[in-house]
Amino acid sequence: MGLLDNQTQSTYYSGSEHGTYQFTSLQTVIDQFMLAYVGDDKIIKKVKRPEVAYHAQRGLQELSFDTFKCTKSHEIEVPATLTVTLPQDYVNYVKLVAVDASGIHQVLYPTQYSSDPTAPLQTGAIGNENFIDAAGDGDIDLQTESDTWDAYNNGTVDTLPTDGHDTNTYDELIGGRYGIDPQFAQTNGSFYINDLKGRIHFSSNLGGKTVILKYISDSLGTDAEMQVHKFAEEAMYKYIAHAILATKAEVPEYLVARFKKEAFASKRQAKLRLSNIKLEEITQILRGKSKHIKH
Amino acid sequence: MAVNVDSVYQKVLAIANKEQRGYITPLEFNLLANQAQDSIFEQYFYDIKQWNDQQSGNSTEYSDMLTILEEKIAPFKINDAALTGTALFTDDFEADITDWTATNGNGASTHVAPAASNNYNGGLKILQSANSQQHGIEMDTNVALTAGKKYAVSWDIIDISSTAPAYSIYVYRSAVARHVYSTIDPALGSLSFTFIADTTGNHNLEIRNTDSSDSSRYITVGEIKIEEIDDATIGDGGTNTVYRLGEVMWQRSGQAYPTQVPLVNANEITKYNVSPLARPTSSNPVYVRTATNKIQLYPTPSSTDTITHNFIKKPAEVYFGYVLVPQSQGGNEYPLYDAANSVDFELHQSEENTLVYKILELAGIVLNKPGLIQIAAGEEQQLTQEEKV
Repeated sequence: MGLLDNQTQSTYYSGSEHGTYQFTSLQTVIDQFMLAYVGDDKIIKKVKRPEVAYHAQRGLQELSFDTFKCTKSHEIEVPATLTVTLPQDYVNYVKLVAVDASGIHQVLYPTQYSSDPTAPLQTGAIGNENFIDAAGDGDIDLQTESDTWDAYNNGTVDTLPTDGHDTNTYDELIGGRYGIDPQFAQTNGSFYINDLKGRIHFSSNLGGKTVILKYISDSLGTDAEMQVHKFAEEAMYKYIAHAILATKAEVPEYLVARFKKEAFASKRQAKLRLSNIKLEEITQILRGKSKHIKH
Repeated sequence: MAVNVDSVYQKVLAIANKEQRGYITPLEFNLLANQAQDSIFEQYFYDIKQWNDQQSGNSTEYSDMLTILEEKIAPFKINDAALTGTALFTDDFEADITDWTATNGNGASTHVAPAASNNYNGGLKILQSANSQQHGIEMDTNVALTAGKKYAVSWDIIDISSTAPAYSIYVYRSAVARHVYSTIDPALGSLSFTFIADTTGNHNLEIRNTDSSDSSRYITVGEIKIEEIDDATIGDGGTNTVYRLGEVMWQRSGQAYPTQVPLVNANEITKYNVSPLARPTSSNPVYVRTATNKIQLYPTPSSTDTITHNFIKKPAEVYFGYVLVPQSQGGNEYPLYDAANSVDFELHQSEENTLVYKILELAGIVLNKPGLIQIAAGEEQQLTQEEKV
């Protein structure tokens, strides 16, 4: 009867798949939903399995975005081009860090004052643009890299904070002279993500350094990652049930509303559980409240 | 247990004659009996729907209507049947076993003639009784198989000795056993095993009694066949055609349990295919019904996947077999029941009364006797009311 009955302890420890008990596969979620929620004497009398599979995958996407723990990370050595391609299943980043010689993370922040725009090739003076269409196919030709990116790429960031006062080192940085903006008060480096071209640009001080991209996906990249943490299993069932009831014709509105509430509540509960707040850890952090000077 | 056709015929005759309304010939009876059986059988499905919709059933052991109806349908259910295509070789051993040759002399292989004791189903008896060695028998016919394609060998065990012998079924090519099914605990019934041919060419079968005790242990095989599994043809490849298709199941290689395959309409499959989230995969497959006995699975199964289906077969055609014994031979010129050539109603025993009334009702139409129709219809209606109210 137990879920582990088919696997002995020695098989588990000598095997290659460890820690999988915390997850339930999406396939199992779909199978169990069909069993428990669909039938003659159930809330949903009839629904086609592909539709359940569709909503289950949508649910997995939604929960991946804001409920599940971020488990994906990508370690990259920044090449001389200072450009790295985004991972195949990238949806958004959680954080980017550079790794120092001791393996300690140094958080990188996105640059807000630069970008990598699309740059059409043009002739003529400013204010009298003539875009070039060499092939004559109606599409104007573009520069390989924008001037903005070239300039950003060629700039240097002084990583030696030897000056203890506003002198030339920070003069170049916005706010350097007259009270520095805290978001720029670090020399870890910065990055810019070009979603259109699917790549990350790093500041020049990061060339050759190892950076880690922690990112979220939608958990649908491969069959192996189509799984739900057991803390969020109920949220998945409720999400699917609500999605089906909300899109089905002639379902009483009170039923849709009930499942909307239940889906919301179970998602919040899953999020709380997965936020991984442990009493001892938070106590330890709160002990620092009496320390006046923090860094 | 089936309803005896003679019993129904005699009751129909008795009631019809009692009312002095005419005689129903066996020919007429056979026609009306089949119509009555089909009508009762078809009604089961609507009754199940009705009881599902209106009632939640009850918890009694024998009187829940849905359970009763399921019990009535049970004899017609065929479960876990493979999707078979062409039958490549079949031997029902009715007439003889001349297409088979014993592979050694450690026993005897003999033909068992059809008789009442074996329900008129002849067989091949494989007896091990000598030399403390196994005894086998091999078919003479070669069957062409293609490498990579799926095949099924299926057979019926109709008799076994009180101490059952172990036995094996081998698929041979060039004197090498390519695929084998073995059991040390044989039982009566229909069995099968599937395999993917690893070579192309002529193959044949050997059935081997693998006992070596010289204790006259035997098995009797009622029928054996090899079929190609095309993952498209529904039915069991034999006489059981599909009346209602049930669940289709897809079991991937290495998967412990099969996945249910839902039915979709042909126009829906286009919609599903263009949606990355709803597109059928081997984890979430679908099928489209393409013909009376064909389905199309999406995606196409791999050769290692096993596709099975449940279905309801059509009841066998009822036949009141008879012989006419002339007066010169002591007969009375009336049809005399011939059990060997008759086919009983496959319906549940409890349907005997309904069958009688339904046939009488139809007979009333044939004989143009409205009174008979009225009486039979009234009786049937009363029976239905007693069952349903």
